[in-house]
Amino acid sequence: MPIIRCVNKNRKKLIKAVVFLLVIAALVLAKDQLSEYLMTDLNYGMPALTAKGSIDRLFIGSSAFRQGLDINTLEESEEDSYILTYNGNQPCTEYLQLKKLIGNGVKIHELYVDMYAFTSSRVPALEDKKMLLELNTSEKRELYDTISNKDFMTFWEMFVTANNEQLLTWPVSERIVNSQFKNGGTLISSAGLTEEAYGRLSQVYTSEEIDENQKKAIEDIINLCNDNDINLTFVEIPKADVIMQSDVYNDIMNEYIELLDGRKVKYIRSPEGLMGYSDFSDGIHLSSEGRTKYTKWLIEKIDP
Amino acid sequence: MSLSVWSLILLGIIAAGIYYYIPVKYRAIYLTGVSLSVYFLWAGIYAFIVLCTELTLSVFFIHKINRANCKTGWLTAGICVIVIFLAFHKYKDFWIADNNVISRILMPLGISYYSFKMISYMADMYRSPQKELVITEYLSYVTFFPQIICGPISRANELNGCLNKRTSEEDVKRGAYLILQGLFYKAVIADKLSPYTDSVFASYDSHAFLSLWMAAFFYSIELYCDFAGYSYIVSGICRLMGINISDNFRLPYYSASIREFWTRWHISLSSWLKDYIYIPLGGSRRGKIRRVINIFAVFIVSGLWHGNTIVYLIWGLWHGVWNVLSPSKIRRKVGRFFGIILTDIIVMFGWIAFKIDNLSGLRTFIADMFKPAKLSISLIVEAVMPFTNDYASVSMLLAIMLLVAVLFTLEWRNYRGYKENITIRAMIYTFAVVFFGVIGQSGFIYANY
Repeated sequence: MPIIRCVNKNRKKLIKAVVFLLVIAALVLAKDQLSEYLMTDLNYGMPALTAKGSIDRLFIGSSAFRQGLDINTLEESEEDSYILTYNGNQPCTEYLQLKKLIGNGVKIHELYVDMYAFTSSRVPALEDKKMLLELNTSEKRELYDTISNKDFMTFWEMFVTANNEQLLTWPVSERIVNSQFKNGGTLISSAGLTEEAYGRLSQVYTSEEIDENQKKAIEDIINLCNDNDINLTFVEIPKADVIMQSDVYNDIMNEYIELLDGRKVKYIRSPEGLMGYSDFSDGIHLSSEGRTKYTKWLIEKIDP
Repeated sequence: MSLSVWSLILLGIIAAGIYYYIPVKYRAIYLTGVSLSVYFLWAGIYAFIVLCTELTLSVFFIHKINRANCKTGWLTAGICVIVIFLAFHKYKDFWIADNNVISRILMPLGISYYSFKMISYMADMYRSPQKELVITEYLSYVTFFPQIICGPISRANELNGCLNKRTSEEDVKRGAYLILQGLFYKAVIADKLSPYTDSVFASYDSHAFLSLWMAAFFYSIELYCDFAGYSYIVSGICRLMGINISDNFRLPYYSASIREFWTRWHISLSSWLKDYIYIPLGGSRRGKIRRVINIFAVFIVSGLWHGNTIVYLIWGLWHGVWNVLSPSKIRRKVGRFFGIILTDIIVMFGWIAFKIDNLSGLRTFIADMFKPAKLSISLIVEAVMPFTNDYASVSMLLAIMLLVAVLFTLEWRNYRGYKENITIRAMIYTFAVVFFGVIGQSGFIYANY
C-alpha cells in the first residue's frame, strides 16, 4: 500500500507534527486557566471580584453602565461597590456572569442590573470578547450554546484566538489598562458633547420588543437572586433625549417594566430634567461630568 | 462562493489533489475547466461573459498573428481590442454619467491581470513565429484560477512548461510551506492591520498627525503583506501541482533605492512593463533623454493600470521621478541603511495615494501629517484606539508590533543570506496563524486593481 509505505518512510516527521499539534491543543486549553489566574490581581473583571469573596453592591451591565457610574462617588457611601461591565452586555450574558460569580462563592448583598432597552432587544450574541478571558472552557461552551450565531468562525474565535493579543503582551498592556480601573469602574475621563453635536444625535435602533431569550434571561437573573437572597434592582442609565423619547425605546422599556412589575422587582428609571447636553459623550454614554452627577443622584435614590 | 484566502487555499488543495491523478494530455483542459467554473462562482455572470468574449477574440487574433501575413497589423489590432475592454471597464466613470445603467457595471474580477497575460501571449507569438498556438494551453494559462484574481502575471512558458511534470515530495513540502508563509503574511499581519488603517483612512480629517503617520506606516505593511501573502499562497498552490512560478516579491522593503524597489516589488508586473513597454520603446539604448521618457512612460502606464483617478497617475510620476533621480549616487552618499529607510519613506507616501484615492483627500492627509501638535497622552490614546475602539487596543498595537518585528527579522535573515530553517519557520508560521490569524471573509487589496 503506497500510503503505508509513505507513513513508514516519514514516521519521524509525522511524530514531530503530531507532537506539535498536541502542544498547540494543550496551549489552547491552558490559556483559559492562565488568563483566569492572571486576572485575579486586576482592578476589574470577574476573577478579581471572586478573589474579594463578597461585595455589598455589585453593578452588572454594558458600557452604558461603565460610562454612567462613577466608582469614586459610589465609594463615598459606606457600602463596598464593584462595577462589572462588558461592551453590549445583554441579559443572557449577564445571567452567565452572575451564575459564575455565585458558583465561585462570591457573596453579593445588593445587585444592580443595567436596564438597557437595546441590548435586551438583540438576539443572544457575544458583543465583547474580553469576557472570554475570564471564562474557563466549560463556561465558554455554555456561552457558545447560549448565543445564536454558531458558525465555525465564532467557535474558533471563542476557543482559540480571542484575547491572545492581551495574553501575549500581558506584562506591558495590562499594566497600562489596569491603571485605568478601580473596582471595575473606569477612571478614564470623557469629554461632553457640545450643544450642536447633541442636537445632531439620532436614534438608529429599529427593534421594538425584548428578545424572547433575553426575556428568559431576565427571569433567570430574578430567580437566581431570589434563590441566593440577593437584593435585586434594575437601573436605567440616562440616554440622550432623542433616544429616550423615541417610540422604539419606550416600547421596549414598557415591556421591560411590565415584566419587572409582574415579578415585583425594584427598578430605578433615569431622572427627568437632570442631565444636560454636556453630560453625554454620545447618545448612550455619559461624560465624566454626567457620570458624577448621575451617580450622586443614584446614591441618593438607593440610600435615601 | 465568496472569495477569501481560506476558500482559495481549500480550492487550491482540492484542485492540486485531483490534478495529480489527471493524465498529462488532459491537464490543460482540467485546469481550464476548474478555473472557468471557479471564476464564474467568484466573479458572477457578467465578468464570466466578458472573460469568455475576450478569450474568443484573443484566440482569433493569436491565430491570425500565427498564420497571416500582416502579423504587425493583427498584433496591433489584438492589443487594441484587449486594451479597449480593459479601458472601458476601468475608466467608464469618465465618460458615463452616474445615473446611466452602464455606470453600475462592476469591473470584472482580475481583468487587469488576464488582459496583460493575453497581451504578453500575443506579443510572444509575434516574436516567435515558429511557435504554434495550443488553444488548451493558452486557455489554461490565461484563466489559471490562483492567478486570475490578482496575479502574479507569470509568463506562459512558466505554466505550460510544467504541465507534464509529476509532483514530487519536495514540491508538496515546499508548496505547503509557501501556503503557510502566505497565511502568516495575509491572515496574521495584513488582516489584523486592516481594521486600523480602514478606520483612520475613512475619517482622516478628524485624526491628528500621530494617527496619520501610524496609519500610513501600517498601510505600507498591510499592503505588502496582503499582496505578498497572496502571492506566496498562489506559489504554494502552483507548487502543489508541480508548477514552479517565479517570486513576485523579494524583500522589497530592504531596497536601498526606488530602482531597486521595482526589482523586488510586484516583480511579475514590473518585468512585464519592462519587457513589453520599456524595451520595445528603446529602453536605455537611445540616449539619456529617451531613457527618462521611457521610464516615465512605464510608470504612467503602471499608474493607469492600478486605477482610474488622477492620484494613480501622480503615484506613477512620483515613482518615475525617484527612479530617474540617480539613486545610486544618493545611496553612495547616505549609505545602504539610510538608503533603505529613505526608500521606504518614499514608498510609504506613494501608498497613501492608493488608499485615499482622491486628490483633495491626499493633499489634506499629507498636510495634516505635518501639522504641528503637542505630543500628549490624549493624542497617543487617540492614535491607538482605532485598533479595537476599547482598551484592548493597547495589547493589539503591542502584539502587532511584535508580529511585524518577527516578520522583518525573518526577512532580514533572508536578506543577509542566512540559511532558512524550514521546520522552525513552519512552526512559527503555524503557531502565529493558529493563535493570531484572522479567520473570516477577507478579500485581497490588489484584486481591486
